[in-house]
Amino acid sequence: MRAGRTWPRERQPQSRFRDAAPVTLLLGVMLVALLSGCGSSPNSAKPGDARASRVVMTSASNGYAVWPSGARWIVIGTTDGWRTVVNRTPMAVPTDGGLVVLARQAQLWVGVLAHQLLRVSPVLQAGGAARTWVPSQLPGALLPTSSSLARSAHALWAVLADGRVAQLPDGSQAWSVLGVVNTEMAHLGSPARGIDFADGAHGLIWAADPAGHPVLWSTTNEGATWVHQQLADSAPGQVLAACHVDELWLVPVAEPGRLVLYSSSSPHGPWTKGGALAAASPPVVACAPHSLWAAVPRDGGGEIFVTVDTTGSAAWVDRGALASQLTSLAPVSESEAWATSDDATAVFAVNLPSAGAGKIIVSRTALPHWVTTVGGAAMSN
Amino acid sequence: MGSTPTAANTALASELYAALAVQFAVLLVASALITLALWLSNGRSFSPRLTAYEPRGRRILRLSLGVLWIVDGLLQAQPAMPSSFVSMTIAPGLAAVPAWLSAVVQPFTRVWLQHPVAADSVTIWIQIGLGVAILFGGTGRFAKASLIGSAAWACFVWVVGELLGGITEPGSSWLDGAPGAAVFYAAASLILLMPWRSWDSGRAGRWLRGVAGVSFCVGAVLQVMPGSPMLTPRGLFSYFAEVGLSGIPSPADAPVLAWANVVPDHAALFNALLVLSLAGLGIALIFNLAPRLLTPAAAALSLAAWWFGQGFGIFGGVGTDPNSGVVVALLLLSAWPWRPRAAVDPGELLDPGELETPVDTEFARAGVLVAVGTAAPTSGSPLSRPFGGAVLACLLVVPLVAAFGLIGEPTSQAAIGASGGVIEMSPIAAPEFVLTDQRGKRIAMRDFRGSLTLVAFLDPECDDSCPLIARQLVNAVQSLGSSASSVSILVVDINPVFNSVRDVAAFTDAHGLTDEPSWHFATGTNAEISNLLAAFGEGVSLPSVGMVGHPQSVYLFDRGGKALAVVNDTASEDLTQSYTDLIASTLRGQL
Repeated sequence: MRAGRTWPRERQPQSRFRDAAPVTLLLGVMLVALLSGCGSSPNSAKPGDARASRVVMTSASNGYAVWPSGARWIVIGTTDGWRTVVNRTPMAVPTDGGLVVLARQAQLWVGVLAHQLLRVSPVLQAGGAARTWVPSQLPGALLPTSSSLARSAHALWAVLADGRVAQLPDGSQAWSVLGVVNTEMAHLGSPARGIDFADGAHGLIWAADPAGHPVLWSTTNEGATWVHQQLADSAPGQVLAACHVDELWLVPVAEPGRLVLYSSSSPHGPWTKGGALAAASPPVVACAPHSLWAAVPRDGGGEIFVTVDTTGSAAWVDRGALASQLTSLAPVSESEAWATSDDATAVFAVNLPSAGAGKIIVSRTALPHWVTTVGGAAMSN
Repeated sequence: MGSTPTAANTALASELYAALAVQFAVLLVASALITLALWLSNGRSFSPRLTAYEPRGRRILRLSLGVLWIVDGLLQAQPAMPSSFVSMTIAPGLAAVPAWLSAVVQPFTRVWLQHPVAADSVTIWIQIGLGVAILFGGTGRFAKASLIGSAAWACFVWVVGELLGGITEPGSSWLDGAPGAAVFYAAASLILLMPWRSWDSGRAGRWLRGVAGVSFCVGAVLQVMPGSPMLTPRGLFSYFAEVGLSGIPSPADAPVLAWANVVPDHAALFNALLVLSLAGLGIALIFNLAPRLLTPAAAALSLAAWWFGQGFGIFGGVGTDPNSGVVVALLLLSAWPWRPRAAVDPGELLDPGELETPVDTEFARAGVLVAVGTAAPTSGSPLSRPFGGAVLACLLVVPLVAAFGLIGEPTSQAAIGASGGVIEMSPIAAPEFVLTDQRGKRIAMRDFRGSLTLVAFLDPECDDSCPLIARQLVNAVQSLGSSASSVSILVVDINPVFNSVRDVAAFTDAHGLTDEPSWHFATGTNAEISNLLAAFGEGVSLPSVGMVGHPQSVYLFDRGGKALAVVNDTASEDLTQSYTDLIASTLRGQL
């Protein structure tokens, strides 16, 4: 033993670097990858993406939400403003690919998104607190956006992933694909990307033409006939919603770097281009009875804007900032809304303290722990 | 998959344990015989015990590697292994690896599927044998051979069992164990082959840190690869939530689940810190910068990943090793700049000239002390010691005996099928029932008299295994050519919600089975289906979230409606052909 020898014997720097030379190239590649990765920072779900948490309210305290839970998605419901939560996930369907929820008063519809080898989306309906589900099968996969299911007075509507629109009349057990409008959309190369009905009879289908410009089909007779129309002077963009606010029809379109509102006194147009709101990435928008809300992503959080003067061109008013970036927004009155963000453990109440320029107050309502775990681990082979 | 996820095939598990019991008896007998032979060849005596000073870092690494191999061997003996190793461990990754790698792996998976018990027992004994040999193999040529064997087997496991540790698969992450534990086993084995003086000189430690450093750098790159699910809050939440729910014993699961709920809020920060930490530590370890400070830091990060990212690796019933986090930590522990031991009594020193083996000679020439129990010089080989017989038997004899099971035709229970295989049944009559098929036609079991009938239970809403099983059944029938008309496929819809004719028709249409004449997807009321399942001794489970859990067995009935066999499924797309072949060959045997 060479007593007193210390360990390790430090090598000379040039020797150390000579030995490490074979990994230099690898490190260079890794650094390039690292830098490129820093450029593509983690992003949130896109607004309207059905694979993000989303809240849907039927009144101030009643509503549902689609929520990530373990490896799956679940539907949760509340009747007391999210103080208590129940699991309303339909049984016997794989929910790994995401869910689309539509709620009207006491009715709940859940569309199951295609996943792996599930090529036909089931849609299930439940009435109120009833625990039984009435199942149906779409003629294809459901479009994975929050606007792919809609309800008119006497029918349920769905937009398929291939851009077709299907209808399930009340009392029928089989979905039917629309004839004329689908043919027209296919002819124009404009697959449907969303549908909504403002009331029982008036509705809009939105799509994008081959150049990316938004196009609309409107109906005033619950889908018996649809009228094709262009948004004048539009740039390529994504329609985010279709709202009927007071007497005005509003279509917010996310164009590159901004949110543009198109308005019309009739769903058949003509449409007037309104003022733009700067938005680096597509905002979350939602319809209130007398206003339109938008949460614009800003610096990792968001800024809430609300329209006023909807009889005119719908100007935007800044109502304050949010600490987190929202994935959905559900106004329940002119001063209250529920919201979800990437925070998987809570929903948020957004309050406008008074009409005018008062800034928002946001409060967080934590969800019970089971919400994030009841979905369980992915079942593997 | 729509079935119970890790349900072991009871028959195969029993077969495995019976085989292991026999092989253990062989081990005892062989140990006694070899020990006797060694005793006789050594002049009816054994050499005195040699106590050699082994550098502390090397000793830690050697003991760690030996114990890890034994743990791996024991994990390989879990009940689910013969039935589920391929389908749950290999098959999920096969779909995502390059074609060349899949082509390399497939022959071995086929061997496993055809001889699951034999393949598993060979694996068990090889790994236990390597562990025992590394722990008790002493020094000299035998120890060297053991380490070379360890490196070779680790490389084999890395390629075939770990599919290169997942580094070729999109979305793989350092957090979940990439680049795989086996590659570290191989590296450890090779570093243990270095001259002993390398440990006191610090060279071996630098190599160990370099290996860990490269793995950290690879991890940093994987973490920022485009498409990595870790880059999104949702992906991070899903990943950690799944780890937390993977069977980690309480209370160790609670911090993981809490972390799953916290980290999505800071996804960008988490990823940035993780990538920078991995890259920084990796570079520092490779270039041997501040080893006393950064080696523990790197080990701590590895252990954190082992807990939060890998769920300790061994839970869930099909874990084959403790995953890479703890292995890297042990490598780094071995790489710590341990001080050499203080000198022992000079009277116990061996003269280096009396040492026989190259390793011992190098070891002595390097100035390392050798302390012995007696003054008698001896080599460090275990072959001159009492336990040498056990080491040899464990490493060589028993795996060879177990390997005999790989020869010949698959046996009835140890046949193809990642979840089992073909099990012959007593010729009992098929239960009678009347259901409605996808065309709305009422069908009864008696309608299938005169043809061979395959009966399966599937879910029209199932998104993974059911469409594959359906395709496997149809492909098997179609492969019979002109005899295909002699076979009918009767699939029963077990989904209690989606149980209408429209549902089974939608499945049939969506998966291109509408024009297949042998295909019948039948449904009925929940009561009818429950009675039918009970008659088959099967059942379903209905979780609060997710698909129906259902049996995956396929029953074969003869032309008279008598049961012939039950075939268990593999639901992996890449293994579809082998399962199709099995069903087809079973059918051909009855035509």
